[in-house]
Amino acid sequence: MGRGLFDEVTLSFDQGTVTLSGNLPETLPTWFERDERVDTVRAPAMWYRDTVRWLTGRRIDFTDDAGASCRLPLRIRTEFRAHPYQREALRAWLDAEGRGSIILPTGAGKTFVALGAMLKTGYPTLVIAPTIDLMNQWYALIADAFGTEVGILGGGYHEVRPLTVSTYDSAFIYSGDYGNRFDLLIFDEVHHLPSPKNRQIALMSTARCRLGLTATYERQDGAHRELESLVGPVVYRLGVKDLKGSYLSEFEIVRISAKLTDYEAERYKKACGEYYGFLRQAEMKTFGSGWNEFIKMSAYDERARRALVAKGEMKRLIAGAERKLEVLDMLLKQHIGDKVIIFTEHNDLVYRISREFLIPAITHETRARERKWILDGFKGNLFERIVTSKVLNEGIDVPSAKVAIILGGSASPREHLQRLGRILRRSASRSSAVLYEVVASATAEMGVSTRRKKNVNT
Amino acid sequence: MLTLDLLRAKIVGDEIRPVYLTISGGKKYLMAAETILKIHRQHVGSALGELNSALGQFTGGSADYKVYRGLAKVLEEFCEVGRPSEVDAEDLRMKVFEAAAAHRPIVRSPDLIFHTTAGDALDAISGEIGLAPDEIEKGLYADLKENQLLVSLDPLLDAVGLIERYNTALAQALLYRAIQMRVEVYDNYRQVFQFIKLARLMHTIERIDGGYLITLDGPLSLVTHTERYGVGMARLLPALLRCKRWQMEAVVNTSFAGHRIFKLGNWCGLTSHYTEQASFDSSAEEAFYEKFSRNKKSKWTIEREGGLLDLKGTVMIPDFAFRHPDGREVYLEIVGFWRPEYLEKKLEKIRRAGSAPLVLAVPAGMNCSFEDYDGPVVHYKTRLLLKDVLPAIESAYTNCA
Repeated sequence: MGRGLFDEVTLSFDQGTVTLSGNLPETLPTWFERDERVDTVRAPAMWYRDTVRWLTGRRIDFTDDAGASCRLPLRIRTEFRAHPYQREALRAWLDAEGRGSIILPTGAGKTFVALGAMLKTGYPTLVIAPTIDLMNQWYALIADAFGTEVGILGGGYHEVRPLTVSTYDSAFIYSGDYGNRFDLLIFDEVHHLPSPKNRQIALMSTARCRLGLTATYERQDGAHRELESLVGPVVYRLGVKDLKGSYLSEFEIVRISAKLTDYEAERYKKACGEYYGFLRQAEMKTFGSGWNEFIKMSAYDERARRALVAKGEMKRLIAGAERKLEVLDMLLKQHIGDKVIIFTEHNDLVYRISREFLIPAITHETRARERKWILDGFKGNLFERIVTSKVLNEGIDVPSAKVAIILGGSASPREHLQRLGRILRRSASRSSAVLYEVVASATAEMGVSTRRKKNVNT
Repeated sequence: MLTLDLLRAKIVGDEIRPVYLTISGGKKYLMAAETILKIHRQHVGSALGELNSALGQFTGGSADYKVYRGLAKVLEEFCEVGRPSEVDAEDLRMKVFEAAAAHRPIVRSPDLIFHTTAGDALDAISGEIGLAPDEIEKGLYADLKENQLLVSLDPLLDAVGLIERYNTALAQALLYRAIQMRVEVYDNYRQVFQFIKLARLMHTIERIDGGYLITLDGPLSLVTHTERYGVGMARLLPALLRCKRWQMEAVVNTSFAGHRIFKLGNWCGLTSHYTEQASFDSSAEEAFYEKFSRNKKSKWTIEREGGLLDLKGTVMIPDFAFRHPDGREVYLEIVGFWRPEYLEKKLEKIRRAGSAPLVLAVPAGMNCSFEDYDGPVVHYKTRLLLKDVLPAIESAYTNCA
């Protein structure tokens, strides 16, 4: 558009990239590429900070139309008694010029570090979480901590404010639009960032400061090495062993088995017959690459497809076994007056429990306002129990409960550790937490449960 | 549109092609489309959860479930969905759970110590809530997707129409994974560029015989192969399908076989659901066009919006293009009675067009100066006259050459 009289250098933001126009020096930093389509030079927006430094270093006057620089007058309302390790972690991040990742075990209060980073920098901040549920939790936490309006991008909301929460999916979609609106990016569960899509969130943002948070930094595919350029180096690391006992409470695991009803057992047997019958007949294996082959085959072979459907039916029967509800009833009766969180595998069961016991439910369908109301109610003793599906798995703001009851579940060890993190969190009372795991007996789920326990103490 | 997991495509040499459903090739899919439509029509007034389990019964055990689920997905665009209850479910839950908390513990099997069941509690709080217990039960999770009602289904849609829409959606889904698209177009420029702009794609334009070759991608494409602009390309496709003559080649990133080419053109037989462009902006334009076409004296032929001026980053599509048998090409832009700001923008565009052979037609007595414009300007009162325009066309070319 209308250029200045002396055609001075302008640094602009264009859909996730920065461009330089005007009277440019002969040589430009290596990260810039000439763009013949519109006659300009362009670089991913991530290079914004270095470009500003480069221009300033050469004493080149320029107009900055790209960045988001402003300071928010943030005040924290929540009283935090920070642990020394939390302060150390924040210090290390600030010393690294506000770039880098912090590795803390689940339940060790990484949210404190995030709030501290927001408070210390005062920058407009985008917090990015892997799921809508986690995004909702961040929303409630930040709104509460600073007593300010917080924007939401994702899960049906499209409202951008100086402090905004988002999911990786939505942040990816809108990084061209809002890539220059935030000067601090906080990546929750930062190990999700190095994927071809997600990495563009970091690439297309002008944010000077970036904070990665996770309990599980290393990825099996080695892609975490990319995080160094996208977010910054690991600036602080603490393992579960460093914390257990001193900061996290002890817990006890009680496993209870529940038999299938006759009706369920019959259907289970039938589904088993169909599934294993096919595997035998087709001489298929379902471990290693065999499982992938089976899935592929089910896309064109009717019998394989039916076997897959039968497998799904088996899983559903186990997860929703009637007896589990009776066991649940019994456990709840034993824990009158205790705070209880109930976890299930599927949403169907969450809603069923919610209706049958008239207790509030949180699933991925629960919107931010209601979720906040439920969690506040749980913290404030309005409710003694809440029921939730997988959503509170990888999480932050789950209130401390004394009892957790898991009804069915998947076998991922990391997921399991993170679940335990919920009740491992320091609770006010001195008495230790209990984890009940209710599994359907004489079924595959026993195997799953054994596999899990091994990982608890690693 | 379809989601990526429902995409069906196959690799043929360097190419990747969607696996379209053919109507002539066999009755199987036509019958499936009819069945899926029938299941939907039977469930008008029912909850989506019931509809989905009925669909599940039909699609579940079949190896064609991907086709069936795709058809059902495309059909969603023809469905109207509504709430099952007047009550605000979120609000109701807050009231109910809070009221129920006063009656805890609520148990499933009552015994000597604990005897309040959910039913008892609902009876007790019913007055406080102002709803009968069964109404509370019905409304409690009325906002869940599975509890929403299928209100109506487009009555004009038939199985053939569904399959046609599915095929277009399949091609669009393949474009989600496109890294770059090269399109040859020969008409319908305005609609095509309207969608290019809407999808915020970046373009480079080359003149080719009788049309233009447009290369499309986005800002980040400069530094990395990315599929992030594929959604925009998918949105452009139905506009391309409206062109009389066109073809395109997209580079698609397949997860299993690297990059492959996806080709489409006016031979592809896919249909567009975008509406056709209105043909003329004003009756004055239409009258001028009629008159020019009927005029036998001049060798120039006229085409409405028949050319592009590339303004690097944006384009201008003048109202008319004129072509001479000797290969000359001149454009005409009719400046209407617009607001000053709009006119300023238009003028800026025209100035940037620079050396293009462009004639401006300006209303007589218009309060705006065209001093900056060095091409020919024609003034008109109520209608544009041929005797004014023809010499201007001739001079435009000499001016610019």
